[in-house]
Amino acid sequence: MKAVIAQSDVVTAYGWGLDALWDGLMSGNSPIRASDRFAGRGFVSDQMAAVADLDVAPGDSRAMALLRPLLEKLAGKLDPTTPLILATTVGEIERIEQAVLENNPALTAQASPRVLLAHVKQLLGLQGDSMVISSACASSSAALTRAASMIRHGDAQSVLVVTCDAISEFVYSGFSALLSLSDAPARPFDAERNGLTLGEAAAWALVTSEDSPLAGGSSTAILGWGNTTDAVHMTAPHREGNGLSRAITRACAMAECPTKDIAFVAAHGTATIYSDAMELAAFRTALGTPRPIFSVKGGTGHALSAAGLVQILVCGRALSLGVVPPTIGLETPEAVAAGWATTKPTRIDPAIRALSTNSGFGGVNTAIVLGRGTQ
Amino acid sequence: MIRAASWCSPANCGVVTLDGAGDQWSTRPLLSNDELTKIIGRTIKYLSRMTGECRNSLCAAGLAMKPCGWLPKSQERPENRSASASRLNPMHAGLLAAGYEGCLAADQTYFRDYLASGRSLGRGNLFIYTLPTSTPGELAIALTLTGPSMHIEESANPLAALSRHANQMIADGEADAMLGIWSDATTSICLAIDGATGTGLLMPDASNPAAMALRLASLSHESHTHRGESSLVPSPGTLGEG
Repeated sequence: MKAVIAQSDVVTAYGWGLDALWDGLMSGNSPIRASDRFAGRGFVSDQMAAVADLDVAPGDSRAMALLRPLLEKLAGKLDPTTPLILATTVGEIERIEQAVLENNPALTAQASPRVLLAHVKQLLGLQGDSMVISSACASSSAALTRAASMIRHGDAQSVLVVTCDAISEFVYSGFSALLSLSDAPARPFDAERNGLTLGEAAAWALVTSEDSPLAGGSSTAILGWGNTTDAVHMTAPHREGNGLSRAITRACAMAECPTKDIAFVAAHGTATIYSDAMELAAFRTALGTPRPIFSVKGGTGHALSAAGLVQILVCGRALSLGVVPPTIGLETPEAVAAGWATTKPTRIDPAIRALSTNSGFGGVNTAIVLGRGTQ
Repeated sequence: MIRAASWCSPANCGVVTLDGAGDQWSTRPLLSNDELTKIIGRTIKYLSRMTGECRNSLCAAGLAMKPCGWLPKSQERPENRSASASRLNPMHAGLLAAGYEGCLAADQTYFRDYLASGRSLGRGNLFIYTLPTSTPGELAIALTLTGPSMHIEESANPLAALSRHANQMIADGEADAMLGIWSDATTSICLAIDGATGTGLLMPDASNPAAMALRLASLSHESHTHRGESSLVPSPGTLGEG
């Protein structure tokens, strides 16, 4: 039974909704800005892709402030037994910051993603099974594979995947310490790239079977997937991209999709030197001949757990419209990216397959083959 | 099916296997570098950097994989392995983890240190362990687990949930074998699951992992008592020693 993304919504630094995200990417403009939010901290960068004018109510976390407007529109519209998967890396990490700053251990337990899961469940009025899935920066794409698997195995009629990670001092300081942050807006696959820009995003996707009445003509099919681990280093990727290329191969095999039929790739594309190089190596190994790839992170920044679902929703729109968006921030593709990374929108045949990939700490990789829901 | 279930608690550790032939147990946890190396059967770099939770999980994982024949047989790295590796080679095994408390402790450790350092420069080597997937990442490196790796937290029945997801991943062709590891700050439980059909090991009370560890210890002790003269079951205290 084929699983499809029947409905979805998203917020990124481009604004609220998929239209804002798509139009922003197609415009070639980036909402990444210098910010004084962590002024005086001495971090290696002040760049971030933050959601502008976010209304954080007293007592709310920034993650919940991102999620609440998205989920309130959905509340009461789902079968209460719909299983819920929350994909996040750190959830409401401000609770840990507060717990340590105020020396209040009681706040520590509030930082558990299980607490955020309970809030989401309550907000949506759901009473079915629920779980948190974390697979570093591949969390939401991994969650989507679990949802698709549950549909295939007949565990549920529909599964709701919700994802969110917000910019925090905790995470910003960590990536600064790792010297992973670019001092200018990220430039994925560019010869002059020098690091990532942190972003924040929230999104949800309702995954159903293709014959569900909820699956309309604009749905995106989840045709196959692969989850692998490099098993070589906690943070550095495998130099030749072995783990990612295996994930791509498995995804294509499950989708019964010859690699030649993959028309374009939504790459993780963080803009760090080694991660981008690893991805390009994996694409060459698994796909062979060049085809358009794009990364959204020169615009949305790296939204950690949410990164996967954000780019998958963009993929769905690209499949629907028959056009691949450009890579924001890319000016001069590095030599090995020539023929792959795109600086301008590229027309494609809508009746084809797309690939979306993510990788993260712990050597995790996820690859998903997507198609139009009607295929 | 579940082929083996192992545990590592402050009191003891061991493994219960489907046919009983691989049952082993010790009256104490085996967490020294030498003991862990002996369980895994190969030298593992970076053992000293692992947290207590991670070492517990490594001990449990090694104990469960060994009787299944899933442990790496040499020092070869994944990039050097042949693509034609046989089924149930660890290259095709993945890992699902549950239990979040250890990550919250790592989160606090990182942020406290960052504040103590003047709130301008954190320590990268602490930051990289602030994810729920930190322990699975370390175990994947140590045990050459190159299949799926993710943390799945279902509060209602964590071990049964891990088993269900693992079985689906195997059925989907994502892996030939999966480990399901639940851990808290002191205790780890590992289920070794493959794609064979059948009853497998039963989990009498999977909703309570701590009780499950006690039950596993009890099962192992009963097994030892009943087969006291059997060479198949080592005497208590011999596992990983000598």
